[in-house]
Amino acid sequence: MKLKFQRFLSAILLATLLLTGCASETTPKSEPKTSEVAQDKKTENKKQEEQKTTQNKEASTPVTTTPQTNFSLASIPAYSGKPYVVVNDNKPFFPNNLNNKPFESYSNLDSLGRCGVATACITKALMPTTKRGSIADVKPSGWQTVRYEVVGKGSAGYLYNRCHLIGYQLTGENANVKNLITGTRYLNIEGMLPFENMVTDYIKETNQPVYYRVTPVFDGNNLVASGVLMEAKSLADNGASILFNVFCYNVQPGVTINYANGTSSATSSAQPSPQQNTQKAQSKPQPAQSTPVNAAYIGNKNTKKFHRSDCRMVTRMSPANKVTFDNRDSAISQGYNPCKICNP
Amino acid sequence: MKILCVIDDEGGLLFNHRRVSKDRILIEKVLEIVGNDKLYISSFSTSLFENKDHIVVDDDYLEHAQDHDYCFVEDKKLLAYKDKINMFYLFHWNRHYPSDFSLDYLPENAMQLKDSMEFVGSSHDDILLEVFEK
Repeated sequence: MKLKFQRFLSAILLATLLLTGCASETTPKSEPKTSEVAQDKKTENKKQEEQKTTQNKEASTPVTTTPQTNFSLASIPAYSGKPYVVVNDNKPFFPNNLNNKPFESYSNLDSLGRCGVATACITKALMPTTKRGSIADVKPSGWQTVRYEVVGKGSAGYLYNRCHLIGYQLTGENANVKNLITGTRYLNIEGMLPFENMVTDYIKETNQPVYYRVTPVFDGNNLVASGVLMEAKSLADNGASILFNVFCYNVQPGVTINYANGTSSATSSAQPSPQQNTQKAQSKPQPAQSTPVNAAYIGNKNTKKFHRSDCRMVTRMSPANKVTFDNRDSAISQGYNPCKICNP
Repeated sequence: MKILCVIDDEGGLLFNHRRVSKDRILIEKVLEIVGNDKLYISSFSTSLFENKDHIVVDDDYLEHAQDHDYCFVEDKKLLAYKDKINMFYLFHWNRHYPSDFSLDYLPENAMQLKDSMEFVGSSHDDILLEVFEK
């Protein structure tokens, strides 16, 4: 009896196994059957493939982590007078399949309140159509308010700007705490702005997208970045028009910065300016105000143009051609015409 | 020869072997100035101009250009040829771009400023043109 029952159970078990095996069979008749173990492996491989595809898609969508594997601050030479240094022969560390649809992405602040990488595919659609508003309420990590005459006069003398990672002229992102770092005026104006200008004007001229990424680089737990890595590539022509990978130094000639907390001190000749007004530093320079009456003007004997003393044409002027004037009337009365660049 | 050139605030022409900027209306101005006279360009500049009979692509144009010929300069040094230059049309982007190749011959130090005018470009708010003559 017991044996008959065992045989019956075995038969049931066998029948069950056979039925299960038939149900799982999915391979075409022309291919050999796969065992359940092989099937599991195939399913697992398919899952891995799907994950890889998803990862590839994510690689072309907003990047929110520091992506550079080959870049380290240790590889950057010490500042030696130029506002930026070329990295990786000007080739960005971008992945291969870049998203050419407009987007912008900003990393969350880290535990020290610091910004992370900001990435965008910039097109005309993202560019601002209104004037920039105030960003005075944002205090990026390491923020200090201090002025030095060596930096500039009046409101142009603030050591730090609230420095956009992705410039306002590119995406219109203004008072976003994830897009603002404590950057020196030098970093902002001499380092980053020229690259932003180049990208902006390319997009305005061609209406083609530029993949763009800015990474603030902090040394250890410093609250002020040592600099920013700026990378860009024009997508329509695979970088033939716009292609760069540069590290811009967050320094200010004449000032020594404590990057741990943003405090600073002057070098021997640069003294901090007293806080004479409540003007706050803007992220980008403001248009020049009207010229004080006693400002010196510089004339060019060759061109018969006269300039404000800080006009860029003056720096290119041959010393032999220079002549000075105390005021506009004096320049005009001697046959000089105002420069159309600095509008004295 | 007559030089046509466009620079940024620092006299910059190129960065990473690429022009720092371009502007369709500026090119139209260039063609307006040249008229039907010969315009030399290098192979680097061909993408800026349509194929026209009077536009000659020649990477040695500074050697070949004659007195009345125009040369659109983007990627050449001019100092060695300064004695050949009798007119200089210098456009200013009025923008600051990065550059690693700049204009090496500044006309304002050696030539007479004859005219200047400003115009709005296709992607630049305010382009300045200065015309210098020897």
